[in-house]
Amino acid sequence: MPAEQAREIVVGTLEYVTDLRFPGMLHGAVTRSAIPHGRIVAIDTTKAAAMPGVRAVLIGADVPCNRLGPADVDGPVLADQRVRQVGEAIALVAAVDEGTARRAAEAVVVTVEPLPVVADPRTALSPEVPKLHEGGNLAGRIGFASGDVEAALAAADVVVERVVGTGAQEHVAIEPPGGVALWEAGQVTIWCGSQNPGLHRRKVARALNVEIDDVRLVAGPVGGAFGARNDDPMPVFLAVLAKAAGAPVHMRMTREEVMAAGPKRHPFHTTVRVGFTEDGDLAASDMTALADTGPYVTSGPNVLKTSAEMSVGPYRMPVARFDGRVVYTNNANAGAFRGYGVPQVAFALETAIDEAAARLGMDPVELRMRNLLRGGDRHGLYGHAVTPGLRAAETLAAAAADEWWVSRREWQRAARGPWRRGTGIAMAVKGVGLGSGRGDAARARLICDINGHVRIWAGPNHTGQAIDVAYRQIAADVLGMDPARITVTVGDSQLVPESGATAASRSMYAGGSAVAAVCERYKAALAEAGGPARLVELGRAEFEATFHLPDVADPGLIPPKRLGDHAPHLVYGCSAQVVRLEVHELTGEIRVAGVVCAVDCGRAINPGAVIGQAEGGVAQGLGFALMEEHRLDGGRPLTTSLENYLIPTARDVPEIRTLLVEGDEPTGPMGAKGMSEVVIVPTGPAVAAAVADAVGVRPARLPITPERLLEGLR
Amino acid sequence: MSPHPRTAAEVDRLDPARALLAGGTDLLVRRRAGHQGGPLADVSRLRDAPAPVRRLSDGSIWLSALAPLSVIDRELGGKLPGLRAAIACFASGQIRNRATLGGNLANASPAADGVPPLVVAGAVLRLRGPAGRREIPVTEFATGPGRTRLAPGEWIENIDVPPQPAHAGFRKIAGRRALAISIVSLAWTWDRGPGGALTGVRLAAGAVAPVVVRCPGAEAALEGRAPTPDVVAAAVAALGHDISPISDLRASAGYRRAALAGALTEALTPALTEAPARRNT
Amino acid sequence: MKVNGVPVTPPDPDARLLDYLRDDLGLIGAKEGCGMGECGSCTVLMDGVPVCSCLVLVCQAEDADVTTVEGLRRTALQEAFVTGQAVQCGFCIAGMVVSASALLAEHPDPTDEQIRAGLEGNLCRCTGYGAIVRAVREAAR
Ligand SMILES: Cc1cc2nc3c(=O)[nH]c(=O)nc-3n(C[C@H](O)[C@H](O)[C@H](O)COP(=O)(O)OP(=O)(O)OC[C@H]3O[C@@H](n4cnc5c(N)ncnc54)[C@H](O)[C@@H]3O)c2cc1C
Ligand code: FES
Ligand code: FES
Repeated sequence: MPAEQAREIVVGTLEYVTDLRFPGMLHGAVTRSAIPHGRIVAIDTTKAAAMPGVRAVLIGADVPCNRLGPADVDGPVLADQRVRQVGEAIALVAAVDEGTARRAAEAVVVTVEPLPVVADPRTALSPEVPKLHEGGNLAGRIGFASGDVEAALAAADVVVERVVGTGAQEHVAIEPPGGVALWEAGQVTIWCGSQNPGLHRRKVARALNVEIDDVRLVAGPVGGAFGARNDDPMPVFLAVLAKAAGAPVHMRMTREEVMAAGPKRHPFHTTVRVGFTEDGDLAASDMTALADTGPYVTSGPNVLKTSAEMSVGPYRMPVARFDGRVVYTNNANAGAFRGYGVPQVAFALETAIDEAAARLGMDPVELRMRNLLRGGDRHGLYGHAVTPGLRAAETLAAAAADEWWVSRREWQRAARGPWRRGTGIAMAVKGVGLGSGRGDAARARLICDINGHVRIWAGPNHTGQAIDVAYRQIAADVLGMDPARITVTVGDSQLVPESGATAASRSMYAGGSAVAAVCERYKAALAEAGGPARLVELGRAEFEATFHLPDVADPGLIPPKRLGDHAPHLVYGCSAQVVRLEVHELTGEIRVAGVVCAVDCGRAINPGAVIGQAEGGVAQGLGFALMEEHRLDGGRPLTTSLENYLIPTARDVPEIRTLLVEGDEPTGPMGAKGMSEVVIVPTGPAVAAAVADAVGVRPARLPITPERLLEGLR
Repeated sequence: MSPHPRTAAEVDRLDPARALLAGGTDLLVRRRAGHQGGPLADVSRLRDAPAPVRRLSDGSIWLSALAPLSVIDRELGGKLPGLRAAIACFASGQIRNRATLGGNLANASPAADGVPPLVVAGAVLRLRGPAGRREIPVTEFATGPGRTRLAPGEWIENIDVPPQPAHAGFRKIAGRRALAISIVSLAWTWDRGPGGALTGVRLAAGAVAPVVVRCPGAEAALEGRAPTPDVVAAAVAALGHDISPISDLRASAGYRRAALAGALTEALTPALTEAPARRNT
Repeated sequence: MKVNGVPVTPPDPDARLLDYLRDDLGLIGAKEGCGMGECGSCTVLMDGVPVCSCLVLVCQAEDADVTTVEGLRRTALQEAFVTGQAVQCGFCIAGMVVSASALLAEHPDPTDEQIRAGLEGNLCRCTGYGAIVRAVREAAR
C-alpha cells in the first residue's frame, strides 16, 4: 500500500469500493440456489417485485446475453435452466435499502426439480454419473511424458509412491465482494475489486451487449484478493442491476454468501511415484492428478496447466510424466488462488522426496541440493531452458543455514511433556507470468508536464501488494528522478491501458517492465528534445509502451505449435522453507513455533513489501496445511461462515523469518521478478515434514487436523 | 423495541416473550442467521446489577451472571483458576468484553467453555423472575442443547461458588488457538492428600454429551489414589463410559473420546502439567 | 451516547452499532468482514475496551463512550503501522489499530505474546501478522 493510502487507512478515512455512497443509490441482493443440482421449473418474482421499496427484480431472461464467458461451461450470469451449485445466483434485486433488498431476494420463489448430485470428483467421469454439461464432466486434461517413465522407474534403486489429497481452500479476503455501479449517458462505471479489469469489462460488455469502451472499471481500493477477484461475477451483477434499476446500485456479499458461492482453491487427489538411484540422483517422476473445479470451468484447465509444469518442482528430472484431469461436480466452484495449482502437486512431490531421503538415509537438504536445477538448466518435464536468474540452490542453502534448521536436533531434544518437536524443510518453484505462447503483455502510459512532473498509468493494479510503490521506484530509477515527482495510477480501466490480470506473480515482473520501458522511451525523447517543456511544446509529452513477456527461446520437447497449451515459463521464482513445530502426542494438536522463508525474488525493489508478501503467503500456507478446508456433504456446504471455516489468527502464526535471496533476473525490471505466489507453496510440505520429524508419521492429507494426525498415530 | 429495563425488578416484570439480551454474542449471531427475530430486552446496563465478583466471609464467591467475562476475570484475582483458564481461551478479547456467564449458561451449548469450571466448582445459580427467586445447581440447569430449566420470564442473576479445593484447571482442544469453539473441554478440581493421593476429585467435560457433564466414573477411579500410570489408565478407561460424544463438523465422536482422554492424562501427569499447556494450547 | 467525544442521538435503537457508525455518522473506518464477531474488522472501543460493533445494538451503547479509529489519538501507533509497512490491503487495519491501542493502554511495554494475544480477535489475511506485531512493538517504544 502506498504510504499516502496507508496513512488514510490507519485513520479510517480511505473509501473502499464498498464504502462508496451516491445520491439516489439503491442496494442490491442476490437470490441464490439452496440446492446443489436441479432443473429450474419456475421463477416467480411477483411477490418480491411488489414489496414496497423494491425497484428492480431481474432473472436470467432479463440479461441480454446471459453468460459469463464465451462458452456454456463458463456459466450463466443468472441460472435460468439449471442450478449446479448451492449459492448459484438466480435473481438480482435492487431496493431502497439493503434489508429490503435481502428480504425481496428471499421472496423470489424458485421452483426447482432436484437432480442427482455429482459430489465425488473421483467418480465424476463414470458413465452412470449425470452430466453437468453437454460435453460431459471432463473440464480439461493435460498429459505429457518426456520419455519412458515406466522403464526409468523400473530401473530406479528406490521408488517412493505417495497418494495424497489437499482440500478446497477459501480465500477469505477480509472484504467480501461488492461495490457500486453507475450508468451515465449509456456508459457504466463500476467500482469493484477486480484482478483482471480487462476481462471483467469484456464480461460486462458481453452480458449487456454494449461496447467494451462503454464499461469503465475502477478496481480499488479493495480489501484483499488472492485470486478470488479474477472470476468474481460481482462487476457483472452490479452493472446489469444498475442498468435495470435506472439508478446507482450498491451491493455487497455477506460472508455466508462468499463461503457458499465464492471460488475456492481446487481440491486435488494426487498420486506420485518418484524414483532415485542409490546415490540419491533423481531418476524419474510420474504424477497423476485429479482436480475438482465445481460446476463451471473458470480457471480449471489453466490451473492444471500450472500443476503439470510445476509437478517436477525445481528439479532435474531425467524422465517425467504428468497426467491430470479437471472435472465438473456440484461442489463449490473453484477458481484462481495464490499458488494456482502448485501447492497441491508440490505437497505430493516434496513429501515423496522426504520419504525417499528417509529411505536412502540421506539428509533432505543434501538430497534436494544434488538434484536442483541450476540457472540455465533444462526443465524437468518439458526440457526447455530456464532463466539463468534462477537461484534455487542458493535459496535452499539460505534456508538450511538458518539456525532453526541447524539446531533442530537440540531443539527437538528440549521438548517437554506431551509436546513432541519436529523440524521440516521443503522447496517450491513457480513460473512468473502466464507462460510462453500466451501473448502475455503489460502496458504503461506516461505523460510529463512542463516542469518535468511525470504521471504514469500502469497495470496490473494492486490488490494489497503495494505494486504502485514499486512501479514508482522503477520509474525513479530509470529516470534518475526523485520519486516524489512521479505519480502512479493503477486499477482504473479508463486511464490504465489493458494489462491483463493481477495474477501469476506477474504484476511486478510484467507491469514493472512496462513501466521501465515507457520510462526509457520518455528518457530518450527527453534527451533528444532537450527538456520536458520542449516535449510539451512539441505535443510529444505522452508515451506508451508494451512489455511482452519473453517466451522460452527453445521450447525443448514441446511441439512449437502446442506452446500455448503447456505455456512453459522462462522465468521462475522459488522458495525454500523451514517449519518447526510441536505436536501433542495425546491430542494431535499442532503448534507452529517458527517458519523460515527463503525466497528467490530477483532484486527486491521494495524489501518491506516482499517481506510482507512472504509472511502473508506463509500464514495462508499454514492455514492450508493445518486447518482450512471448505467442506461439503453431497454438494451442500458445511463450512458456512468464519465460525466453522477457520483461518489462522495472530496466535496461530509464529515468528516468520524471511530471507531475501537476491539476485538479478536479467529479463526483469531492475532485476526483479514475481514472488508473492511461490511463498505459499512450500509451507504445506514443510509442515508435513516437521510432523514426520516429530512423531514419525508422514501426513497424506492437508489440512493436517488434530483428528487426522491422531488417527495417523494410532 | 420498547424501553429497556434498568433495574432487576423491571426485568422480573418483563413480558416473558421478550428475549433477554446480555452480551449479545450468541443472540445477535442467531438473529443474523434469521432465528429469534422477536423483541429483545437489553439487560447489559442494569443500574442495580450485582457486583461482578463478591467474596463472602465464608469463602464462597458470588459471580454476576450479567458482567462481561473480562471483568469477572480481572476481579477474580487469584481465585477460581479453572474458570480463569477457561476465560483465557474463550473466543477473543472483543467477545470477552461483552459475553457473560449468564448468556453462556442460558445458551446451553454443550461446548460452552464457562460451564465446566462452574460444574466442577459445584456452583449454584440464583434465579429470579415473575414467580420470585430460587436456586438451582448448575448441574441441573441445562437439559439439552439450547434447553434449560428456566421458567418463562425467569433469569439468572448470580452464580454462587462455594469454597474450592487447592487445585483446579481447564483444558480446551479446538481448531485453532483463539476464536474457536471447543472440540472438547475438560475442567477439574481436586486436593492432594499425603503421598500425592487425589481427594475431592471432580471432573466435567464439554462437547461430549448433550450437556456439559460430570464424569463420575473417572472421578471414582481417581479418588483417594495417587495418579500413577495405572490409575491414570483406569481413569481414562472409565471416562469413556461417562461421555456420549457425537460426530459433527468439528470432529468425530472417536476423536472426541481420544482427545478428552489425552486432556485428562495431561492434567493428571505432573510431568505433563508442568509444560506450559494448561490453557488452550 | 458519545462517539469520539461528540454527543449523538441515534434514531434507531435496534440498529447495529456498526451500521449506525457507518451509515448514519459516515464513520467508515470500522468495516464489516463477517457480521458475527469472528473477524474484528468492526472493532471499536466502548468505554475504553474493544468490542465488535457488529454484535452491539445501539440501545446497548446508549450511555457509552464509543471511540472509532477516526477518534483515536495515538499517532505513534498509527505512524508505526505506516512506516513499518504493516498495511497491505488495509481492510483489517482500522480494527487492528483500535485493538492495539487498547492493548498498549493496558500493557505499555507488551511482550510479543501479549501483542499476539491482544490481536487474537482481529483476522488479517494479507500480512501474516508479522509486520503488525512489529509495528505495535515499535509504537510501544
Ligand atoms: C466470535 C465468537 C466466539 C465465541 N467463542 C466462544 C468460546 O470460545 N466459548 C464459548 O463458550 N462460547 C463462545 N461464543 C459464544 C458466546 O460468546 C457465549 O456463549 C457467551 O457467553 C454468551 O453470552 P452473552 O452475554 O453474549 O449472551 P447473549 O447472546 O446475550 O444471550 C444468549 C442467550 O442467553 C440468554 N440470556 C443471557 N443472559 C441471561 C441471563 N442472565 N439469564 C437468563 N438468560 C440469559 C439470552 O436470552 C439468549 O437466549 C462465541 C461467540 C462468538 C460470537
Ligand atoms: S464484522 Fe464484526 S467481527 Fe467481523
Ligand atoms: S491488510 Fe489485508 S486483511 Fe489485513
